[in-house]
Amino acid sequence: MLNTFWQRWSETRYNTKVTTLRFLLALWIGKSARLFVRLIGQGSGTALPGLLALNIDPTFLHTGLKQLKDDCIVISGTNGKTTTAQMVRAVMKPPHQSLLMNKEGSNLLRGIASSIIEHSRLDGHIQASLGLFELDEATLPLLLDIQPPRILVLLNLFRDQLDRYGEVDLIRKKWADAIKKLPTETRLVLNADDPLVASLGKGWSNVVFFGIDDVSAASEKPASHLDVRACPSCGGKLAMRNFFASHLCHYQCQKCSFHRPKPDIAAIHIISNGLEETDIGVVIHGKRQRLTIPIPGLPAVYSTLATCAVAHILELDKTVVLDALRALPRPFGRWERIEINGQKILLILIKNPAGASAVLDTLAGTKHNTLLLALNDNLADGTDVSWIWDTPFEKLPGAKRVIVTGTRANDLALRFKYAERKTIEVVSSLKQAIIRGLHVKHGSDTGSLTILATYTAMLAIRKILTGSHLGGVQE
Amino acid sequence: MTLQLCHLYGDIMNTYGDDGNIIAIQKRCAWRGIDVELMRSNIGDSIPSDVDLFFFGGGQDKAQEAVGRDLVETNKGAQLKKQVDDGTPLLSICGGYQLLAEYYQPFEGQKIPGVGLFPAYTEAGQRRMIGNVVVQLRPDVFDNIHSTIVGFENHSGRTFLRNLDDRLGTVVSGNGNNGGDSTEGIMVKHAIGCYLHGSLLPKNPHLADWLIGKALEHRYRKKIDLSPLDDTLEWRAHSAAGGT
Repeated sequence: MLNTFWQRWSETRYNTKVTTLRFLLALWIGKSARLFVRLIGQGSGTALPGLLALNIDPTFLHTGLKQLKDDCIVISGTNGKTTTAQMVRAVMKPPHQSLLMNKEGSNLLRGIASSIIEHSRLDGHIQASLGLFELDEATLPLLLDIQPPRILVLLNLFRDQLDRYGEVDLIRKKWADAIKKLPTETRLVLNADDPLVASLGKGWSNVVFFGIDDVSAASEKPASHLDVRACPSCGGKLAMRNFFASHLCHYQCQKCSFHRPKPDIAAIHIISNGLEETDIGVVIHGKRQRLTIPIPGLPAVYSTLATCAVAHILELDKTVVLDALRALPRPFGRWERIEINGQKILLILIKNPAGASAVLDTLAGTKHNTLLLALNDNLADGTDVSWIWDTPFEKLPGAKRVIVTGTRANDLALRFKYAERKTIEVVSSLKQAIIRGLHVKHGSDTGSLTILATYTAMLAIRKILTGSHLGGVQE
Repeated sequence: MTLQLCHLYGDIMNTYGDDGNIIAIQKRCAWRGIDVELMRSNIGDSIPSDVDLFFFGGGQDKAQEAVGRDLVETNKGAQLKKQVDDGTPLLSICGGYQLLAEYYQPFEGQKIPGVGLFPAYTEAGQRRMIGNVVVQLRPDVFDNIHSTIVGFENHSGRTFLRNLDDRLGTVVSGNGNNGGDSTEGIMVKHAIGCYLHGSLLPKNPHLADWLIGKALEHRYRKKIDLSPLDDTLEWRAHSAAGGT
């Protein structure tokens, strides 16, 4: 099954060191913890088992990941990690049935450790040959240090949860330092349209750039604040135009030679079919392709391009890739469609200005019966809710009713007041908010409900909508 | 009535939702029929002379360095100081606050000089101070019913006031200026410096109106009573963040 790229890599890096007793001990305790967590019904065991294992054996990841004979593909960036990982998984499925993936949302080192625990036999043998990991921006440098991946996909870098991650420049610097230490065999897949990311390819020959060439999809002005205005190389002023999402654009430094690299994988023609699907004309290393993805919006186009880059590197079968993309299920909470008693619900994760702004752009011109927005300020959401003021909620699409909920519903209500949005309903309980949203009926219509929610609110809402207490959703 | 609002370095000093302050001033004026003319002054631009209210937000380190050079190496800092001395109100947050004080002392290397508008200085700190902050406002300046202001701090620089009486308020919860002396922010004439993001003004309508009032006073040279607004939502968000 291995193609030539895998073989070349395996010859140089494949290593089946015998697992140590300490590794086994960590594994067994991790496995017990996983069993326990699942038995008592306190989650799926994607964090605690890994955390325990890493505490018992600090080299747990190193020992575990070394066993993967096809090594790993790592995806990072502020927005689009989950969608991209799901796309890559979909296109790889036929030849790589034995994928080791971290569960969505567990994108810290403990999440990867937990996935090793889940997929290992008791003797420490991992029943997978290839790792596919999505990693948190701050965690990426740690993993690169432990296990250099075969392919590293970097999607973008935006301001996000500044209380947790700190400033964008700081994260980029950590990425740059970690990338410098990678072996030259690692293939970098970089977003050409993000100057913060594209500039990381400086000095690398092993880079595949992806980007959008179709300027009809761009705006003249950026939709939200730009996290970069200066050249990452020399600090000079960047000339920027054709904005696709926040600072993803076409750019050139006015002082030095740094400019947007010509993408090897480029979207040359994008047609969006409402909120249903997107048609993309792609040029892949000079060859034209048409493909369709069942997800709306430009962020999904970037994920598709990154996936095409990975597929190209892996020399995957073109037809398989196109079919897999077309049939892609919408990932968890990413434009996810849920139907309850004939009422259509659209569930969309929002978590930072760039992502939320892209969602608002995608929703532009659409009409909704009820819009429900949920803002939580738990650790996984970011405890700082100031980002809602950096998000152009003035663009919120038309709806007969707007309900806000979540731990910081009052902040959201205030944001909408200052966006001149009248008649906002504040409902503090998530469940009550959903019940209200679901029971709005206009004439003979069954109501449609569009939900925008931060991470922990999204999880909770999903649980209410799809969970066992669904029968209780009534007024 | 008209009010001229000047956003200082808003293109690069705009982290943590500080633009919400601009939105708050614009809307709270618009709802009262006051026109707001928004001017922007970025690197290389001059400081407009006919400003009634300045706003200066926080930014990333690199942006802050570039802005610091622009303020100190030209006469823009001095111009700003002169206008504040004449009574023009100003709100500065985090990076903007630090740049308007005397200097910033990094861990290594030379002091980075500031504008010197605020009698205070900042030292680099090891610990990042992050979280919600509740501040009891100085009673001698603010006689509103709501005596607290709330916001979200995220800074490692520790700012020390030359004179503790200059403080904007006293920390009820959170760290404030330096995490040690319970002071938060500074106030000189009608100029305020503080560490409160969040955004600050939407959740603290009394402070927003105080600034608008001072701005109109500056323009029309007389005390102007602002018509009251329905601030129910504002006070709810204020309470949700711990304010009283």
